[in-house]
Formats: sequence, C-alpha cells, structure tokens
Amino acid sequence: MKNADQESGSHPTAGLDDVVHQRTRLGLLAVLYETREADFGYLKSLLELTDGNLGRHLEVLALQGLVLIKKGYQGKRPRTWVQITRHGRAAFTAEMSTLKELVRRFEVSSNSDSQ
Amino acid sequence: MTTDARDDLTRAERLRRQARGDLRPSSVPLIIFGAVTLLGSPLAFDITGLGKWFWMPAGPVCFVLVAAWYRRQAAQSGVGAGRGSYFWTGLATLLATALLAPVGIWGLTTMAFALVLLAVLQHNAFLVACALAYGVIGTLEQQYVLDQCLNTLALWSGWNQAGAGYFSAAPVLVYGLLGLSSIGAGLLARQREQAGS
Repeated sequence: MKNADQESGSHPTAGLDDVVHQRTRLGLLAVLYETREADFGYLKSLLELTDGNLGRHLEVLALQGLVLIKKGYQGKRPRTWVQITRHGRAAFTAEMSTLKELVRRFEVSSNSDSQ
Repeated sequence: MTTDARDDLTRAERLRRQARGDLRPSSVPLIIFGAVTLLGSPLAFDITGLGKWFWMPAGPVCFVLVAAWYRRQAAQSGVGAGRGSYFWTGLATLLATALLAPVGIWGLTTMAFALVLLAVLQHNAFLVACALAYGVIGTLEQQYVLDQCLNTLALWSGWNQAGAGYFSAAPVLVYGLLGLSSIGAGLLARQREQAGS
C-alpha cells in the first residue's frame, strides 16, 4: 500500500520556506497580513521581542522583499513603519497552506494507524 | 515536526485574531451606532414626521465617525495604516439610502446591512451577530411590528397611556432599548478587548 507521500509525489515539508517558517518571522507576517502596516513599537510589544531581535528579523524579511521598512515622523516623534508586500502576502499564504497540509496528513496517518 | 507545525499554525492564527481585534475593535461601531440610535429615539415620538429624516444622514455619519475613531487609534497605537473602509462605507450608505428610500428601504435597515457586510469582510463574528440583531429589530420597528406588539401589551396590561388609544411612546421605547443594547454590547466587547490585550 502506498503512503501519502508516494501518492502525491512530494512531502509538504519540501514546500516550507526557511525564511518564512522561522517562528518569529511567521508571527510577524501573520500580524502584518491582517494589518497591512504596523509600527515597530506595536510589533515589539505584540510579539514580546527586544529592539535588536525584532530589527534583525525585519531585516531578513526586508532582504527577501517580504516587507518594506519606512522610517518617518509622526509629529515630532520618530516612527518606523513596516508594511507587508504582495510577495510577503503570497509567501505567508503558501506557508500557512503547507502547515495545514502537514497537519492534515499527520491526522490522516494517525487515524489509519489507530484503526 | 508535526506538533511544531500545529503549534505554529495555532500561534499564527492567534496573532492574526489579535491584530484584527487591535486594528478594528468591535466595541467602536457598536458604541457609536448605539449612541446615535439612542440620540434619535426621542424623535420617534415626533408627530411632524421630521424624525424620519434623522435616519437618512445617521447611517453615513456613524460610519464616518467609526472611520475617524479608527484613524485616531491607528496613529496612537501604531497598528494599521489608518485607511478607513468605514469611511467609504459611510459614503456608500448615503448613496444607498438615497436610492432605496423611495422604495421604503432606508435608515436602520440600510445601516445594519452595511454593518453586517463590513463585519463579514472583517471576519468579525461578534459584530456580525450584533449587526444582524440590530438590523432585524430596527427593520421590524420601521414596519411598526414591534409598535403593535407593545401597543397590544399596553392595552392588555391596562396601562394608562394605552387607555387613551395608541401607545405613542412605543417607538421611543424600542429605539431607546435598541440603542442601549448596542452600547451594552459595545462595552462588553471593550471589556473583552482590554482583557485580551
């Protein structure tokens, strides 16, 4: 009997993107997917990160063209805005689909093992 | 690996929900729509018919107020770009009200329909439920169905005003309670939002 991997050709883990899959970066994309734009302070407090840690992850995402980082002022207050790109939205959607497929396969194989 | 995948999925969905709530909290439209409905309730007693005209701009004004509130919040909290789908909905509601008024569909019905549509687009189940309840009660009242029920109840209970004929305070009571209920639902949502943040 063929297993699920043989049936569909490749295992879903092959579709995981290392840049997006990292836990913090996936969280950042999840937030930005909903809000389109958020400032550095909001992301820092929501994801409970330090300035340096958040900065490094955003840099990785920006280098891949998944987010845009804009620095500016709101009144006299300096602010850093992070915006998700179209490529970033597509990458997040693909990652979520892959994760869902992985979980689905696991549940199918667990059910067939228990029967 | 699969446990990790499940954890990652759960965490991403939780963050999405939280961000959605921070971006557009349900409490804001519920409190604004409730306050405007409460404000308009005494006009239902108006025998000149001018009270009807209150509902024409009320819907668009509510949506624009919500958009302004969200814009201010976006500037303060740093979430979202402050662009307001509610602002455009306000304009669309004004247009819809003008077009549908001649066929008897206007005011609360149009407002609630627009709110339900927005809530569905924003995946906000609580707001969908509240907007549906608001729309059903508001539409029934506009067709005088609840008026008649209260009138019958007043006559049955032998209340003084009913003795004089039609229970004229019924629309005020219905709109007032609708407004207060919306405000109540908004405050409940606010409490949940603050507990979640």
